Amino acid sequence: MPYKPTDKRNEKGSEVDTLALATEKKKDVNVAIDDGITSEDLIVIIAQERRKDAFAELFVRFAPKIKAFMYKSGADETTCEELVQETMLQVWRKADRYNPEKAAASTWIMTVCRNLRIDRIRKLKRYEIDVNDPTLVTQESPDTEAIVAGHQKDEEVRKAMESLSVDQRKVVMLSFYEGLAHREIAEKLDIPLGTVKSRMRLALQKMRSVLE
Amino acid sequence: MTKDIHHHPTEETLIAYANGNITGGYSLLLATHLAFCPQCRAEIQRLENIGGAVFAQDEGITVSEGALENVMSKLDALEMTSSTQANTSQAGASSGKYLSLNSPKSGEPSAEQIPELPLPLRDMLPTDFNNLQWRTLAPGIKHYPLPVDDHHKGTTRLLKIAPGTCLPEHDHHGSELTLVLKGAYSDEIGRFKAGDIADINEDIRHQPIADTHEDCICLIATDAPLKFTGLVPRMLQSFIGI
Repeated sequence: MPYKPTDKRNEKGSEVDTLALATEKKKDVNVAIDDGITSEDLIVIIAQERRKDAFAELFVRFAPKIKAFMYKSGADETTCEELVQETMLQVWRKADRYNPEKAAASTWIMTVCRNLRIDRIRKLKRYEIDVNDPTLVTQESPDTEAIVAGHQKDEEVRKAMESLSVDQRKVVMLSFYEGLAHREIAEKLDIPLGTVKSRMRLALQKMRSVLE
Repeated sequence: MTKDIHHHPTEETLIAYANGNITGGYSLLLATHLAFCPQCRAEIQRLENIGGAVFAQDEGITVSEGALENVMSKLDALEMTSSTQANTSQAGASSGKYLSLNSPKSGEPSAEQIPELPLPLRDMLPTDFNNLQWRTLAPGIKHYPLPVDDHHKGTTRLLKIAPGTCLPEHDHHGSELTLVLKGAYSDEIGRFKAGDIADINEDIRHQPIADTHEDCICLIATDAPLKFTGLVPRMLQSFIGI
């Protein structure tokens, strides 16, 4: 049975009204889910309205990227497919923890992928802070807070990536995409560890100067 | 609090945390530092933004036909159980123990103390620092091993060092991360107070001394056993397995 998002849209009308009123960031009820809507908004709609058409749209946009990410991590075809579904189910479950002020949708989904890679492919345990933990020490200075809040859009980071040399970009890709340690990058590229460190440092400096 | 943090993880360590290479005890320790340090949280966010952009840039690999339908049916199943799950997790969060690190006997100014331990470390301790079942390692040095899920050979523990006590001089096979939770210590590198992290690699030999009037309590994670350099410490090491 093919999935028909439009069938579901009006079913929960009254419930959506209540939800929208209860949240500060009021969204238009029954906003059309189409190509024009941002992925950030899709996650917010999933969190606030539990709309499956929004989820289906997000799946279409991200499932191939998630599969590529898992494939790069060394998973076989079956595992990749499983992990695509698992990642997206976690996105559905944890959507209320997503803060569009702090991260682009792609960044947040990447962290869900990264954590599943650690858990399912590498079979290791990663400990993380709970972002809603009231004991977190917050910044007194509003300046630094603004830097955190003003997250970079994918497009800007992409431009910054283009400003890197081929060697620098390679190191950034292996680290941030394939998740290799500096030592593993050195082995893979057959270059000294110190060179990995210096290329990475220069790459990050360059990206910062483009981004800030 | 923030302005009191002078020692942060190295850039390499932050990258390794952001790209998922740090797990086990190291990740517990870094998560705890991040809870105290908005500056490093912002840095992690920046590094994750890079990862996210690279992830978004990839054209991807086509998923199998029926994957969407499949996941939608799982979603329906999830919906059925989600209300009960939400209730359980909320109950779990609110029952979290409040742990105060402030020692009532402490003569130190409160600026040097962290008021509360963050999760997930908080949930690993059955009680507060005063009532923990510390085990003596050496005169003036007690420890409390933590139940960390760690596939490495390393260890994760809390260390309580009495004022004026010197840890035996040691160097490192692998690397060691130390996070001060209470009090302070000094070594060849500098002075470390609550929230400060010492990110030490294998090249370093150091001899920390607790230098305030209260116990210094640290969270220490190693990825390989420490190598003590004196004869007596080495004998001690074979007994205690630190």
